[in-house]
Amino acid sequence: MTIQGQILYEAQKLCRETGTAMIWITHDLAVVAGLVDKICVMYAGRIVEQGAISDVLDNPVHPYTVGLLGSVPGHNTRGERLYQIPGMTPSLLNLPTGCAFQARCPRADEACTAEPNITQPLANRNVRCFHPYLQEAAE
Amino acid sequence: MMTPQNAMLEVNDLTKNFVKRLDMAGKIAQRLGSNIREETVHAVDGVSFTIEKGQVVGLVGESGCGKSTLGRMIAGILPPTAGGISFKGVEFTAMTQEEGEAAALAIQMIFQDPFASLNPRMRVEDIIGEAPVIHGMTDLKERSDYVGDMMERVGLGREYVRRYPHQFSGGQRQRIGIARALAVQPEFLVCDEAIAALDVSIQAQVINLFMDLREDLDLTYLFISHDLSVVEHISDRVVIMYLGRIVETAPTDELFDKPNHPYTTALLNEVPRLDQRGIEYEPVSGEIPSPLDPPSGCHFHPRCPHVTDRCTIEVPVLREIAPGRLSACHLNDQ
Repeated sequence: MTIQGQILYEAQKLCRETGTAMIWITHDLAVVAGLVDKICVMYAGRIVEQGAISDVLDNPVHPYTVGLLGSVPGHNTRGERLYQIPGMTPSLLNLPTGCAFQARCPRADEACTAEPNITQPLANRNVRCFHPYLQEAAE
Repeated sequence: MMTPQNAMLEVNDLTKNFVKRLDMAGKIAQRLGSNIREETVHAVDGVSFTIEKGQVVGLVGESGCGKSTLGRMIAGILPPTAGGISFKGVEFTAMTQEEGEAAALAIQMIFQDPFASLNPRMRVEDIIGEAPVIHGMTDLKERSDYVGDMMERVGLGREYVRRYPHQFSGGQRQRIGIARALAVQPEFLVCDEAIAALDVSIQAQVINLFMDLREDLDLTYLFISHDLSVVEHISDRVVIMYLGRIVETAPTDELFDKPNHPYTTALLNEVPRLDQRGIEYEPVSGEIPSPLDPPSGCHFHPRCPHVTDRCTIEVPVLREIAPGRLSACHLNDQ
């Protein structure tokens, strides 16, 4: 944990001192939260949600992002069951037509068998989904 | 240390040293007057604690602090240099052969790396089924069914019994490792960084699985991890280790709400949290010192913000600071 902090410090220092841009590839959302400006969430080969870090973490709209954030253990979940995204990551050899997340998605319907395009349901947010969580995000 | 009535596992002043023996060239050099010496690593240094039946105890510390070595000694993989481990009130070394075998079966370990801890040339059926057949929990005829049951218990389809480990994903392999441990009907599981290698969504599944198994099978866990948010989620008690020694142990809520030891405080401050933004990371004051040459007195003193002269000389004793809470820090004496 402390070594992690040292590595992050070095990476951040390099960016600041030399003006380098950085892509931080990880599955650790908590590290990303403190480090980055912008986040891209990928699923099965595609970016499904993209936006400023605070916007995405505070108001995720893609069901996959919502599921991911829900499954992170934290202060408030002590001893409770964690949210599980049902099912498994699909094999890339055998993706369904349309949205790759449809089989695991609580909001999926017939529309999702078509290819979702990138939309901008919120300012500065790119989402690849027919049924993003928009009302919830606005609240 | 007092033994509560329902103590499942008790560790008493447990110590493990690894000695780097001199090779021939070293011995000759030593004869010729060079100051090459055998080096000793104090991986675990006088550790004592108790785990009650049904408890989940989180063991936390940085890489190299001896937590895996401690776990391996408890699981019976490594012999301790000194000190003792009792299981259900009987000391390991005082057990009869039968008792020893029963304890070895009852304590099972789940390893960190699901890619390295499964034999790539064995089918899942053999990986999970080998031990229960040998120990008479099932026989060769019923082995497939038995293995299938175990696989279903950890959320894998029983149709996969004939597959090899490489045909599974990381999360599935970790489940195979868990099924292998469960197959001999253990009472106590040592999980050594058992979810560190897994993705967030898979991690959630495995954490939930551990919690379900605890309820269904009445299991007790020693959960070794460096991930504090996972430990906070799953543990009843937390033990914090630093450089081979326990520095603090407390019920989870109390430890996270009000850490006592400066090292615990430092660790908690390092935890990345989802609600943090734009952190300015700071150069941490030093790395964990080498256990070959640990600092004198309190091991944490070179990195401690509250260091006093006494800390550099005298080893602080782990003592009770509140009911159920132990801490090893001289600051508590003031």
